[in-house]
Amino acid sequence: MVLDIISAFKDAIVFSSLLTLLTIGMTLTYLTTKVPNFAHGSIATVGIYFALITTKLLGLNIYLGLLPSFFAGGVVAILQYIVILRPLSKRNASITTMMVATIAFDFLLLSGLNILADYLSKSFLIISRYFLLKGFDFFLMGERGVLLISPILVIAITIALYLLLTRTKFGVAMRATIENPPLAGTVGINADLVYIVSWFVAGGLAGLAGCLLPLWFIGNPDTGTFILISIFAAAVTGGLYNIYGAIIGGYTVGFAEIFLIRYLASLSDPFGAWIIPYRPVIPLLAMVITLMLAPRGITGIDVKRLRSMFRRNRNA
Amino acid sequence: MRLIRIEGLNAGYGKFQVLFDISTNIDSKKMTVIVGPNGSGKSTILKSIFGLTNIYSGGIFLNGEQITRMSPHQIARRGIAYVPQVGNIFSNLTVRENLMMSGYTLKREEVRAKIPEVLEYYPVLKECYNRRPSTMSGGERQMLAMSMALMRKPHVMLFDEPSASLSPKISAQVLDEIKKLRDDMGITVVLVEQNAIDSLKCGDRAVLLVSGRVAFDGPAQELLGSPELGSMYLGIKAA
Repeated sequence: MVLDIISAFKDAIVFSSLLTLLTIGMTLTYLTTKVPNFAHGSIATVGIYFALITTKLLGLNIYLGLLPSFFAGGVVAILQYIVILRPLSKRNASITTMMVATIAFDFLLLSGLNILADYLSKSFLIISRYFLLKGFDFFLMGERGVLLISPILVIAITIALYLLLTRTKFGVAMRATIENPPLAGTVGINADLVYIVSWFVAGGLAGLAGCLLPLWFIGNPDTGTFILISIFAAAVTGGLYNIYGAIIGGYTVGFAEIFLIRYLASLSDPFGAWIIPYRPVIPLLAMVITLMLAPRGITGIDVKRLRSMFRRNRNA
Repeated sequence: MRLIRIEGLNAGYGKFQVLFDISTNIDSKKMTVIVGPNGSGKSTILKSIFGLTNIYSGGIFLNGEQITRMSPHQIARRGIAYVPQVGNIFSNLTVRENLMMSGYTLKREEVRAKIPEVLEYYPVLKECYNRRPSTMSGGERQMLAMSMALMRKPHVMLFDEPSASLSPKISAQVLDEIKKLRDDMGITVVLVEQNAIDSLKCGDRAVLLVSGRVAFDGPAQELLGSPELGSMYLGIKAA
C-alpha cells in the first residue's frame, strides 16, 4: 500500500473542517455550562439524517439541507439544555452528574436515530444505514464540492463568531456571562438566554457538520458517537477555554488522524492495513499528550513564560 | 423613607442556613452599614437582596414590591446595583466593554451618553479605557467596579467589602467615593464592611449581625458609641 499524499490531504481537509465545526460547538457548550456534552456527536447525526431525507426522500440538493440541519441540531441542543441540564443545574448538581445526564441523553438520541433509520428503510425503502451520499455532491474543476464548501464554512463561521463576540452587544454579553455568570446577572444580562443561544449555536453547528459528513464519510446512527472521541481530543488539544482553540484543535487532530493512519497503513510489517480500525487511538493519544504537556491546550500555552524559560536554559 | 423592607428572612446556600429571621429596613438616600464578625452573614444579606442565595422563608420588598426569589437580572432592572467583594469586574473584557455591559439594560444612546459622564466621575479610567483590567491596580479595579454600578443609573447600590485587600490610603479613597454617591447623587447605599469604625463614621444606620441574627439595628453613631457591642464584636476599644 502506497501513501497517496494528495488523496490524504483532501480527506484531511474535509474531515478537519467538519471536525472543527463540531469542536467549536463542543467548546461553546463547555464554556457556558462547564459540562462536556457526550451527546454532541449524536446531535451531528441528526444532521446526517437530514441530509439523507433532503436527498433521497425529497430529491433535493444536499446543500439545501444545511439550513434545516442547523435548526434541527440547534433545537435538539436547546431541548437537551432546557429539559435536562438546566433543572439539574438549578438543583446544584455536580459536573459529574450533569456529564452522566448528557450520556443518558446521548443514548436516548441514539435510540431515536435508530428508530428513524428503520422507519426510513421500511417505509420508503431507502438505504438508511452505512450510506454514502457522494453522488449528490457537485463538481468544481474536477473536485467534489464539499472539499471547497467545508473549509469555506469554517472560515465564514469563524468570522461570524468573531463579529458576534466582539462587535455585538449580545456577543459581548455572552463573553461576560461565560466569564462570570453571577456578575452578568447583576448587570442585568439574562444569563439563561445566553446559555440557550449558546446551546442553539453549538447544536446548529453540529447539525451543519452532520449534513456534510455523508458526502465524504459513511453515515449511520452511531457515526456521531464514533466521531465524539475526535471532537473531545480536538477541543482539549486546542484548549477548552478558548473558542478559537477549537479551530486549531480541529485541524491539528483532523490532519494528524488522517495522515498518521494513512502513513501507518502504507508501511510494511509490522504495520499495514490492519491498523486502520485502530484510528481512534490517534485522537486519544493527542488528548493524552496535550494533557501532559499543556493541560489548557495549545491556546492556553503561556508563550512569554515559555520564551523566558528557553532563554534561561540557553544562558545556563 | 423606607425603600427596602426585609421581613423574617431565612436564607443560605443549599441546605446550609446562614441567616435566621432577619428583619430590617433600608432607608432611602441614606447609607446603611452592615457590620459583624467574620461568618456572621453580612455578605449573605446583600446576596439575598440580589437573588443569589436560597431563600427558605421571609420576604424582601422594594418600594412595597416583593422581589424575593426574583432572578438577578430582573432585580438589576429595578434599579438595584450590586458590587460584589470579588469578581466584581469582567477581567477578559476591556474597560470600555465592562462599562458597556454594565449598561446592558439601557438603550444604546443612553449608554453612549452615560460613559463620558462616568469617566468624568472616575478620570483614572480614561487612561485605561481600551485596556483589560488585568493591567490595572487594585484601586483602579475597584473604581471600575463602582463606575460599572453607576452606569445603570441605580437608586440603590449594594457594596460588599469594597475596601477588602486595598491599602489603607486607597480604602479611605474608596469610602470617600461611596459617601459622594449618597451625598452628591442621592443614591441609597448598603455597605458591608470589615473596617467597622470608618464605615460606621460615615453611615447613617447600622445593622450588627452575629451568627446570622440581628444583634443591633439603629443609628450608626449609637452602635459606634456602644461600649459592649463595639468591643465585643467590632474591635472598638471602650473609652
